[in-house]
Amino acid sequence: MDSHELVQLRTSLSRVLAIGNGKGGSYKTTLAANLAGLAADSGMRVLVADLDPQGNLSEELGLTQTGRDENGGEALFDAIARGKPLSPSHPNVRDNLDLVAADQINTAALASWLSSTMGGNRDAVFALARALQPVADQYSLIVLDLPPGNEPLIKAAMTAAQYLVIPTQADISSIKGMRAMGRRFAEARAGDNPDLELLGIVAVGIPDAAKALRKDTIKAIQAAFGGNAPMFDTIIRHAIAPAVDARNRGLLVHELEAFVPTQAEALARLRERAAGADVERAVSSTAKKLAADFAGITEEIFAAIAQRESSA
Amino acid sequence: MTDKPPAGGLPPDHLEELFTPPARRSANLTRILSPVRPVAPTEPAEPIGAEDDDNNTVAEPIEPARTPASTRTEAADPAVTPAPEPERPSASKASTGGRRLIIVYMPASQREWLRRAAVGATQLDVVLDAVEQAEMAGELSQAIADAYQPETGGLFERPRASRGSRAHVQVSLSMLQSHVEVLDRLVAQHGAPDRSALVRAALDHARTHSRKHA
Repeated sequence: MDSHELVQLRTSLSRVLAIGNGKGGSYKTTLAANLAGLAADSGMRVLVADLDPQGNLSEELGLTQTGRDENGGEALFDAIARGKPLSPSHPNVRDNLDLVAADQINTAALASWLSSTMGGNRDAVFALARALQPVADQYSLIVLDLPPGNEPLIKAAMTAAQYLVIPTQADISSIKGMRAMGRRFAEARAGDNPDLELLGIVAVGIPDAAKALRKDTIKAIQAAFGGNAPMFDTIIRHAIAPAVDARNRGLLVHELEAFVPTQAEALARLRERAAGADVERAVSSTAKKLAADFAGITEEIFAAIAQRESSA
Repeated sequence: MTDKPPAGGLPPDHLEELFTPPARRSANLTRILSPVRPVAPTEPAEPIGAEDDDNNTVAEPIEPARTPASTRTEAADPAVTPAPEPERPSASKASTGGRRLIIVYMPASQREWLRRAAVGATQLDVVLDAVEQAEMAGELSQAIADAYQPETGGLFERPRASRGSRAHVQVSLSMLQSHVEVLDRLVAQHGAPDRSALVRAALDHARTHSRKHA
């Protein structure tokens, strides 16, 4: 790729945010979906792309629950391996939010294609970037949900992205996954994407009340980065009930929040229960706190992007 | 006043009025980060298919599905050597929903207006609404004519949208095939130079209209 094309590519992709960790279950997909959904809810045009063959973003956004998740990865496969213009597999999955979904067959095939092509052509690492470039102008933000361990897809994403965010839990495996992601970041910066910036680390899945665990996690993250970890202040709490409710219902957390009973409804339920009625379990009020966490981290990530853009 | 709690085990119904409903979670985001992506001052996207300035014509719209070899979209496709034919996953075409990526060209200022107007809607919605409103008002022909009225203030008569005088940027719109067909019919009906010209004229009309009602 010549330098002129590279400059154009980087200019077009200046708002591409990758979210990754080398370990599964580290809130990558949940963070990608909720951040993208909140941004879209604010009025921004947002594209979110699932690069994980597991295709869990389709669950987060409610497509699987409504049987609309078949062949979700076809659009990205066609764009990269077939050279067709990229169009979202699911346009307007929410107002202002377009989705490029993933699935086991197409996304795994895409990974194989990338793997074999990257072997013989160094330029192939730019395949995702080139696929995104023509549509990037339509969006205020593009979010990439990375797989935990698919090297060709991760490499392509790290070359396409301008920013990287790493969510991590407190356990040793997640910290290990964070280190692996840190190494990939360093490789990308030293190689094909010197502009890639690590926006920060998000501590996730820690109960609000576990103050000591919070401290230990922060310490472990800092230790992994030699004391200079760019950590966000917001910690996404462990809140199993709203997390399960949100995913099962195909709602984002700020959407689930609307189903938390009001004070009057909660009291009415109590009265019904007291009268012996079989009352359905209500959405936990913790959904509000979890929604506040996602809003908080999204605001922090946006502030970090804005700060970099203003100093550019 | 008595310290005795009210009778009954449950508080009265009106207590919820004491609680403020949560703010919209996304309310602060556009104040923190502008929805408009900063664009480096590089040269504007060159209208593909435009003829030379000598001909004083405007860019033709790109139709990737019909003429991929001549499009910028094609140029931006992975420039990798032809790889071994990929294993074709069993996938249906239905998921694309019969959409086509249509690229239209417009001045940067109009693109910025379009982005602002698209808050709470898609850019495609704004474009389709603009075309529809101008057409329903019977003003689309005039809007196109106005947009292409030659500038006569100078020594030489020049169409307004010549490449040299107004650089254009590209906007990609994912349209249904039926949208494209309607646009093409209107292009032919009103004698617009191309789809981009029609869209620009409709957006100008909408912008003027919105100012009048502001």
